[in-house]
This record gives sequence, C-alpha cells and structure tokens, in this order.
Amino acid sequence: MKRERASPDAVWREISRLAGRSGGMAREEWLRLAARLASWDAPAPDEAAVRDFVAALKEHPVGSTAEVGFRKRLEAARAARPGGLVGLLYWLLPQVRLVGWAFWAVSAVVVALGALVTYAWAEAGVLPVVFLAPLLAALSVCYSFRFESPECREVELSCTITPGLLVWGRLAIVVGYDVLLSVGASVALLGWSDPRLVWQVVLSWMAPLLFLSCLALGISLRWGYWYSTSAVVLLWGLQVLLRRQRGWVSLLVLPGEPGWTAVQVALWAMALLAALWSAGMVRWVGRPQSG
Amino acid sequence: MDVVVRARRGDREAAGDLVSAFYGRIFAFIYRSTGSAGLAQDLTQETFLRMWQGLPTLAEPGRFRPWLYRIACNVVKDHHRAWETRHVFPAEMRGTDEPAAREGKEQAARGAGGGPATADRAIEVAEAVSRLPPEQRVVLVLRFYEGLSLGEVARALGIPVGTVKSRLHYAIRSLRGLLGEGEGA
Repeated sequence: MKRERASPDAVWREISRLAGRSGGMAREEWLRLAARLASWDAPAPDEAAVRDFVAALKEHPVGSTAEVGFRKRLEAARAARPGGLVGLLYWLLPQVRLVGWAFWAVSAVVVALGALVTYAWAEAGVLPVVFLAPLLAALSVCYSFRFESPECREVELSCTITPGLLVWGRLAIVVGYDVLLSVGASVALLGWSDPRLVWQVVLSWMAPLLFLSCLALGISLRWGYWYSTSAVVLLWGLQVLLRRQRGWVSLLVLPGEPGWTAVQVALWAMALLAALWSAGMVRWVGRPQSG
Repeated sequence: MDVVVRARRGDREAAGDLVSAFYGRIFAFIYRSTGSAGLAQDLTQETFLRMWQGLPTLAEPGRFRPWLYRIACNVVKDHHRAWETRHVFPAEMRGTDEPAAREGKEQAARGAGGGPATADRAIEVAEAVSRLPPEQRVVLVLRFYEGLSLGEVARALGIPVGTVKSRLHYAIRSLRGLLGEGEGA
C-alpha cells in the first residue's frame, strides 16, 4: 500500500483554528516547516523478511495462534483448581516450598530454644522471648526477600500478578508463621492461668515485631538483604544494651514495668510508619539494588 | 474493505494480504515513534501478530486502519513501559562516525533524495521530533506522516478529536522552536 502524507494545507487548516490559544504562525512559515518535516523519510522494511513473516503467519489460523491456545489452557487449569481449604493448601504449599524447608525448621528450633532459655533462666522473666520474637521475624523477612535467591528472583520476574501482591503475600506467610511460633512459646511459658498476662507479653513483642519486620522489608527491597540484616541486628542489639543503662529510653519494656503503655503506643506508631515506608518501597521489587 | 471482511471470517490469504499491504506503513510509524529501524522491525511483527489474533474481534471492518494503528500504538507504549524509558534516539542517527551512523545518514539521504546536506537536515528533523513529548509525537506522526484523518487519529489513540487537534498544535509549535523556524527564519 502506498504511503501518503497529509496535505500541508489540510494540517494548516486544523492547527490554525487553535492558533489563538498560544500565538499564531503564518501559513508560509508552516509550509517551510512542513517541507522540512517531509525531508525525514522512514526506511523501507526488508521485502524478503516481510514475505517470510507473512508466510509464517499464514500457517496459523486467523484469531487462533499458539498464544491463544496457551491462554485457554491456563483458564482451564484455573477452572479445575479446587476451592476451600484444599484450594488454600494449593496456594500455600508452593509459597512454603519457595522459601525453603530449612527456614521453617530453623525458625521453630530458634523459638523452642528461646523458650527453653527463658524457662531455665528464671531471673530474666519472659525477656528472652520478647527479645527474640521481633528479631526472628525481622530476620525471616530479610531471608525471604533476599534477591540472591534464584527461585525468588525467577518468580518475581515471571509472575503475572503484581510485585506488590507477591510481596504482601509472602510477608503474610513468613511473619504469620513467626507470630504463631512466638504465641505458642508465650503460652507454653506462662500457661493459661492468667490469660491477661499472656496477652500483655504477646503485645510486648508484637509491636516491635511488626516495626522491625516492616523496617527489614523496606530496607531489603530498597538496598538489599545484607543491609536489612545488619540494620535490624544492630537496632535490636542496641535495645538490649540500652535496657541495662538507667536513664535511657528502651523499647524493650515488660508488662508491669514503668512506661509500658507509653512505649507500646510509641512502638505501634513506629510500626505503622515503618509499614507505610516499606509499602512505598514495593516499587523497587525486581530492580537492581543500589548501594 | 472486502479483504478485511474476508480476513475477519478467517481467510488466511486475505489476512496475509492485509499484513503485506500495511506492513510498510506500520513499520514507518513505529520507526518514527521509536527512532530505531531494528526495534521497528520487532514491534511491527508484534503488531501484526496481535492483529492476526484479534481480527475476529474487529467490530467494524470500515475502521480497520485506526484499529490497526491503535494496536501499533499499544505495542510501542508497552515497549516503552517495559523498558521504563521514554524515547531515546539511537546512536545511528546522532552523527557519529560509527558504521551504523554512516548507514543511518546514507539511509536518510536516500530517503530525502539528496546528498549529505539533505541527510543532515533529515537527521535534524528526526532529532527534533524525538524530543517532543510522546503523546504529541504520536499525534504528529499519525496525522502528518501517516496521513490519518483527525477522527482516525482520535480512534487510534482513544482520545477526543479536540485533544488530537491541541496536541498537534502544540507539537508543531514545539517543532517550530526546535528547528529554529519562525522569527527571522
């Protein structure tokens, strides 16, 4: 088909009606400009390549190429997927495998050891569990969002869902698992004789857990795994050191100690801020990390 | 029109004729939108693959041309989005002494039907067009170089005719400044 340019006069009529908006242009001036624009011609495509391409296209029925068939198979697979609890398991198992079995086992062992230390070291009360739970969750987040993992990277690059959904889905599974372990440890240590005390202890580690996890997520996504790991270990290590220094404000306050409520409020506010910040960092998923 | 109707019904020969007939125009449109002949070849083929798949869904055969350009626009847009880049003009048109640059100049000179001076003018125009915002560039290329009517440009881009007119107006005003036309020229 012959290529044709619009007549300069026709274009002139169209643009001159709008000239009042931003200053006019004389017709002769436009014709000079149109002549210059016309000097830029596009190269012609390689005729043999076009013939080969058309011949290849003709091998497929119109409206039904291989890609269409693939989509149909995907839809059929989606329709055949079970719902309910079995469907949830179908969704959970690949995520569980993706993070790696070692992670789930090591997390459980760490919490069990923490509970044992707490039980054996009666003087410390429940401090080791309150200290351990946030750090474990934050390190879990660092581990599960390490971009060095080829499996994680592959899924992030090939998944058709948005990176944001992927991030929040994995975060829910990993942090949810650590929360379950820590609740189990708290209940095992304190028993159900005083449920109020159990919930106070749970709250004591829950707020720092969320704060540290969100902080770790944001740093992991923006700067990488090693930066987030170092940051959370340093921050939480300082908390343990500061707790021994009288006069310093520490985020590690146990139920019944002075300032528990104020520290809780501050921690939940910090967790919220960290969550908002890490949500902003989701856009960095899949990008090469700087620094 | 008859060819479009037959192609829509699944006639591969007719669909092939449509591809052959429009290949050059779509290639030129994508070349002017991206500034790269190599990329234009890939994106043109992607455009016709999508056309081949979507032909049975074409509602109005009489509007085949804007429909096809709309696919091409989406292909170019997807490409830019995928690479998170706005238009980057290729080295081959930047007047370096590399073989690709010489080839680009020769190509521009052949297209302009003149010698190196004519080719330089064509390169100036190409660079000026590449500096336009993408939404203005595409309107200019579709209206001026591809000869689509204002209504067809509007349908191809899915925007009102008034918006096409104003974008065209602003594109030409910008080009006037970029190419040094106007006062005293």
